[in-house]
Amino acid sequence: MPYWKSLHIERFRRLENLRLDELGSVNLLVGKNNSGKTSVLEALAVACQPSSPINWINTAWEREVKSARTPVLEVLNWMFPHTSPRQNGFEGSVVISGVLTPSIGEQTTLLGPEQVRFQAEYREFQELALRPAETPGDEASAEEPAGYVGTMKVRVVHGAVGSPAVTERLHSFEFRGEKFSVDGELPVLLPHQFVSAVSHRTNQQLLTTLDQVLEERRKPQVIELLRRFASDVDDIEIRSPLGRRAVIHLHHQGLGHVPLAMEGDGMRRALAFASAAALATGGVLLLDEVETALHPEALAGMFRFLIETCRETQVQLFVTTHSLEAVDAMLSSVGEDVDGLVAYHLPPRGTSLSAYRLGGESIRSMRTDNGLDLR
Amino acid sequence: MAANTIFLLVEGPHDAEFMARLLNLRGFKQRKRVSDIEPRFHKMFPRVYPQTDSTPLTDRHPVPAFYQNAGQWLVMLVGGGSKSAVTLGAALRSGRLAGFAPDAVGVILDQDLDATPEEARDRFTAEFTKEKDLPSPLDFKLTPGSVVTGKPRLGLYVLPDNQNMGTVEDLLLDCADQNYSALKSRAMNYRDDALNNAGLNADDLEEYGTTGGQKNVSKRKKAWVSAMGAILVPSAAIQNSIRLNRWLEGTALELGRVKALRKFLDDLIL
Repeated sequence: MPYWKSLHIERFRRLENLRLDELGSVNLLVGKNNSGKTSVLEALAVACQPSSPINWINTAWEREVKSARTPVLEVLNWMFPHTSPRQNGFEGSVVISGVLTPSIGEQTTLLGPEQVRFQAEYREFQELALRPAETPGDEASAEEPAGYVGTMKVRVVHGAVGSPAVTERLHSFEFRGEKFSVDGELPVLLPHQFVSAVSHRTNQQLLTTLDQVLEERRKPQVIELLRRFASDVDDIEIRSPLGRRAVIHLHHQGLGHVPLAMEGDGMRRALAFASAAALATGGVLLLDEVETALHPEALAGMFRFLIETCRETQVQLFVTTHSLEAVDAMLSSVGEDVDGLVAYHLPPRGTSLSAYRLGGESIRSMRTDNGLDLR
Repeated sequence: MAANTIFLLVEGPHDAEFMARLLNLRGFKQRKRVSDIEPRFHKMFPRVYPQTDSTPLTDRHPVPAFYQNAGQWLVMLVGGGSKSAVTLGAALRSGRLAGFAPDAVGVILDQDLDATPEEARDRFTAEFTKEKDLPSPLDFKLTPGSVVTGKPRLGLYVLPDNQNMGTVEDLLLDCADQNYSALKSRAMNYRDDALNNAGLNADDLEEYGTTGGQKNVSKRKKAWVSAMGAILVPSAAIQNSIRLNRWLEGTALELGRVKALRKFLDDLIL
């Protein structure tokens, strides 16, 4: 299974020329608010499947609760860098590249490290239509706005590092309102799962993910994590009580089926993590603000589960956090395998500093030996 | 150009207090409250105690000391043995996380049991090269006592004088000759007499190692200074005496070895 060895975000949202070199199996992103931590996760999500417009849109929508989602064109538009107020005729480009490399000792189709680069060009314009004639028989006259159209071209280039031979694919999409069209097959570079800070608050997202978990028969993994929060949980189902809409239920020994809405936020968060971890097999798991809704004492158990699961399922983990307890929980969870843990401190926007990488030994030294803050 | 931010690494609390006295002479004042310390330094000390669940509650909290003189800030880091390199590494990484790099970094070692100042330097540099993820490489393989220009300026000093074996206690004893000569003489007699005539057994004397050995010499000097400190500031650690008493006053400041250390500081800070 290949994973990201390095990532170079040349242009994406408000990120510019951000390099993350020597990525590990567990990657922490820290930094002040607005330093771009969530944007890095989004860039990774997009980079895992750059040719899929659904992936772009879903990635952008992860920031939002479904009932209040921004329209497709608006949400896509802001994935591209802006240097001036948005106006008709907007054009923007996203460029992300990186090196994928197979994990040591694995069966993989990759013979060695592979360089991947994709460039997405987005253009948005207002369509005009002829105004119908006011009197039947008269010619239509004048033009009037008929909505916005967005077009996106994605060029993906990849090849073995050091080799001149490359494979190049070009895909084009057109977006009109909430509809879009694609041409050809949409390859997946890497499977991935993205859990935002608010994913657990969206019933539909939890349902969709759990449905996929059940489809892929990964329910036991999910139950295992839930039991770390409530040891009496022994099952999880999607049920339609009284014939109404489908709702997730947890089965507690002695209590029976309990709607997920009756559980605390911590349990909902655990479900979101467990489902995503189960589905990210062979790919990348992206967790935003991992400490949200979790008591500090619950973090260690959560991370032990996640890291064990990621090891078993060959998943590369990326986590953003503001919490020192989360950092410490991550440290204690990796145990002796501290070399696989890496932290990147993202600089505040507007500075000339680059991302600062700290390896596992340095993280341990700063936290355990010196009790210092690395956020 | 004067350094705005200086990191100074020392090996122990006595060294730290000795250097603090010299800094006071240059106009530096210690800032003890978090609210008086510039925010960029706030990542350099722990805000949670104990640091982790595996930290013994009896462990001393490793906290730098912050000194300010107008626009200049000096951060005094106390390491100790193999912890010195780790302490400096952590400080440099903290600075980077806060978005700054020191303009000057000084390292003050002692050569308690080493044969030469160069060996003390080499011991430190060997440990320091193991530090990972430093913002920039720093090479401390310098001539002991020297400060080299660069970004940052680097300096390395091996107590007591970059030539002879010893520690800060040697400097304190030199200073005592100027301001506490009679007290020193009595402290030496008291200690030597007690060791031979106070009925102490081998376990009691374990700290001194073998008679005639360097450890014996070093511990003897520490005992003399401790005896003097106990008289001057009873029931307090030696660093309190260094801070409160007349060790570094008057002619003591003009002693050759003290002047050399002051010049080192001057060259480092500018």
